[in-house]
Amino acid sequence: MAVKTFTQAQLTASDVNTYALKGDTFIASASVTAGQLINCFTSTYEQYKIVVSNFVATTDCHLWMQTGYNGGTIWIGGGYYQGGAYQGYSTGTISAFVNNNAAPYFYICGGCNAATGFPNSAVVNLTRPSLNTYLAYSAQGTYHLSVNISAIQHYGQNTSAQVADSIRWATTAGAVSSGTISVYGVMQP
Amino acid sequence: MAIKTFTALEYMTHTNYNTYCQNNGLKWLDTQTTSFGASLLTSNVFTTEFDSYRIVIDEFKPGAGTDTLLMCMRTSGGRYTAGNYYWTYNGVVWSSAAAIGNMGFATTKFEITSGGNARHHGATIEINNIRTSGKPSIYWQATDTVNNCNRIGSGFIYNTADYVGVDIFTNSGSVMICNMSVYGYRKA
Repeated sequence: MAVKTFTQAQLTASDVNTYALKGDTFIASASVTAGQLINCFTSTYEQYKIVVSNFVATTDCHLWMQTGYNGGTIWIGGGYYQGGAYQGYSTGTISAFVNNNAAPYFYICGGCNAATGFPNSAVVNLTRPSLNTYLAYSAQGTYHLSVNISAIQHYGQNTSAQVADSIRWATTAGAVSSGTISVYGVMQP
Repeated sequence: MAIKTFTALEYMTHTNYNTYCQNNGLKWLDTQTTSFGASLLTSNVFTTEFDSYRIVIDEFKPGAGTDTLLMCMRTSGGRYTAGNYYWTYNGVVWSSAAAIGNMGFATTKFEITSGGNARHHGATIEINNIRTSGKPSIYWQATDTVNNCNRIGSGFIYNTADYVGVDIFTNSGSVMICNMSVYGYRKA
């Protein structure tokens, strides 16, 4: 987007449309303890970025996410396909990771108790949650457990044709303790 | 955020401004450039306004031969150089499809990418858990023309501190050109 220093007293319609309405847009954020963000996906955007920051859980776990529709009253419980890799910091060894529609959600990042490990985070890209086509997913995050520290990268899709408007999350073990999840829309022409 | 197309002779009101202009999710904070000289790019723009940042490296080109692009965090006392940088990266070689990888365990810096001076290189770096109780995590993607691969990396710093910025620099200390822009993710 062009950058302009305005000098005239009033902005023209063209100025506003050109300089003020473009770019990534903050949509919503919530504490991980809230467990969900309702109506965060709309037809305004096709692509979204979700930032998980400073996530702490009660025990070693995975943080997962699931999309939903009808204002978050119905959650999509299948069609999650995901592949990726863990890579240990101490060895560099890469281990494959798959979810071949076995778990009804996307795995996001690790989680652990702050007393035995330290906070995890992730950056997630979602494409087309608000269109009735396959939702594409990619993420990079940390997988810090009390006895295992590694990076995690994964990519996948959800084969549901539902138009998703919401997202929820939880852990595979224990409960969430603290952290923030924020959703951003990527402006399209 | 709703989108509005303004028409001629329509004024932007304060309600318009609050509705359409205040929700920028990714806020540009700083751009640093260097060319034909020292490689060091320093940006001290991390504040409590954001927990997460994106750093875009544009046009990185070593001064001669090949070089490695490195990154360190900064505190108010300067560059953080303790051996608390943990990272890994992997990639797929363009010509052979072979998978490669490397790691740094308790090192003093992040190794973002490597390149030769016949090419420009780019990288997008995401940093989370800055200036919070967490230890910073980093993810990045970059072009690597030494290994001829994409480079997908992740890492963290095993230390909680009041990080205020980053240093980007090369192993040799010189560069033909490198640009760095820093953006903050609005968090509420």
